[in-house]
Amino acid sequence: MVQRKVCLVGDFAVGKTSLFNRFVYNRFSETYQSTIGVRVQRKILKVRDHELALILWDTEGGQDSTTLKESYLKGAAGAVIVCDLTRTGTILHCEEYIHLLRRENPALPLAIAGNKLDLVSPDHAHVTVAHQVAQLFQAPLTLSSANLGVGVEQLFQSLGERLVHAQTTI
Amino acid sequence: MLELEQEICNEYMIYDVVTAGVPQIDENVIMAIQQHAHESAMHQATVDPHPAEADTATHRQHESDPDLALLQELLLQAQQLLDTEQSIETPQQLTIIKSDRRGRRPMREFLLAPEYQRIDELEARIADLQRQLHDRDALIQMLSPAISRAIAQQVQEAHDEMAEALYPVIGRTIQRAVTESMRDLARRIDHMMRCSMRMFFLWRLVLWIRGIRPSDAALREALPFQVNELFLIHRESGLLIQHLSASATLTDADLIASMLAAIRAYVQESFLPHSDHSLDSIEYGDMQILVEEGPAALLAVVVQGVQPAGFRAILRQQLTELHAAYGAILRSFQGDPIDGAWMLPLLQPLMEWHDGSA
Repeated sequence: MVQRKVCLVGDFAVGKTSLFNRFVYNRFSETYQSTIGVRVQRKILKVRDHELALILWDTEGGQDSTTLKESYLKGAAGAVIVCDLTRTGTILHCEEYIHLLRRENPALPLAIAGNKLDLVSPDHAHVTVAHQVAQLFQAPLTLSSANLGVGVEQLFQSLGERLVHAQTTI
Repeated sequence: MLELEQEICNEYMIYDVVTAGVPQIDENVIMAIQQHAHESAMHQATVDPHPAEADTATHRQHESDPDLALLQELLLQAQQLLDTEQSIETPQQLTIIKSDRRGRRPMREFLLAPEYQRIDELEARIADLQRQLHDRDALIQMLSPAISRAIAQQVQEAHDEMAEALYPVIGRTIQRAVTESMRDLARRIDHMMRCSMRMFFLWRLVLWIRGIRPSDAALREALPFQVNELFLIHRESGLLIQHLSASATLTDADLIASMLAAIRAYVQESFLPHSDHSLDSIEYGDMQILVEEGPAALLAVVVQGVQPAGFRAILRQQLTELHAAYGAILRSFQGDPIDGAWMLPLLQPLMEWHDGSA
């Protein structure tokens, strides 16, 4: 089976692990537990006729991208940049994460997850900012809520499509 | 008249308090005194119709009435029966006590002195207990003997249950201790083999003829060594390139490979950020994961038992040969499945190392 390494990055407490748990185990916990180091899990994704084993690396979040350990990103085939729609700073920091990820591979498939949609309305100013950031850096934005399970499958499915597309065009 | 009644009531009050602590005074006597005192007071009120002269009359009656004097005498006796630090020596002292409302307080204190002392002692004990509760060391010191005795008693009375409860901890500890001891044994054997040449001369000669190192032979006889799993992992991504297993029961080999890579990256970033060194082994129980690093791939083997001398060198050698022959393929690996048949001649001998055939 085709394996692909996908990293989840973003500031602390934006919901990376919640998205990870919702996608892999279909569960959500209200209790916040910060990730130390990295968590790794596998999820089989069906994309058209392809089966893809996503090896997900849920990385430790920090104040910004400077605290992210770059060795975790090596060899990644794709990445999900997660931001918190209730905190503007986490949306603006997406730019730094995009630069960091594209430093080694400018063509790296990326996806931005605007998480915690259940806490803001879809026409909130932060949502508009997130759309602008995504448009500026040509990375698709998916509004998600790990709590409600909204947009999570769609987020990884769209990334999977792009991974398969990148695979077939090699 | 009213003042006289008040005086009598005050005396009764003091008298009642005194008699409460002195049960041996005859109750009939007390009742007779009370009755007489009341009648005297009523008589005096009838005989003396001039209220203006009441004070003088009361004073006279107070001094001349033999019953009142008897009452005072009884009070003095009661006071003497009480074991107090102070005692009333004269009727004048009693008069002072009676005439002053606050004067009753010393009497109460005399009467309740043992209780006060007991309260003081209890307060001191409570304060001491509170101090011990807040002082962890003192608490441990206080509880340790009781806990030790309870555990000892429990072990004696229900040793099966205790053994069952402690088994997961003790079992693992014993297992680890045995493994450590066996490793020490292997080292001692190795040392003996090097030191006592004459003793094993013939045996060494035989081994030499067969091309086996004496220490290896002794080690293999002493302890079993087995390679359980082998992972060839892409160095950058941590993705699994090839997996060999002795038992073929491992289903999450790709996940384990990624976890090993993640652990390695975490250790590197956290403890050895500016060093060329990296994680080269992980130990758990009697198992070991040996990690050998190449330019494009890592070789991780899960072994059990004492690692024979030279095994690490063999790992390195096989990995070097693998890179020399297939370096380009290893470097360009992106997670697509590959036919690993070409690498088996280099990896399979490592799995068979336990029988000495490698």
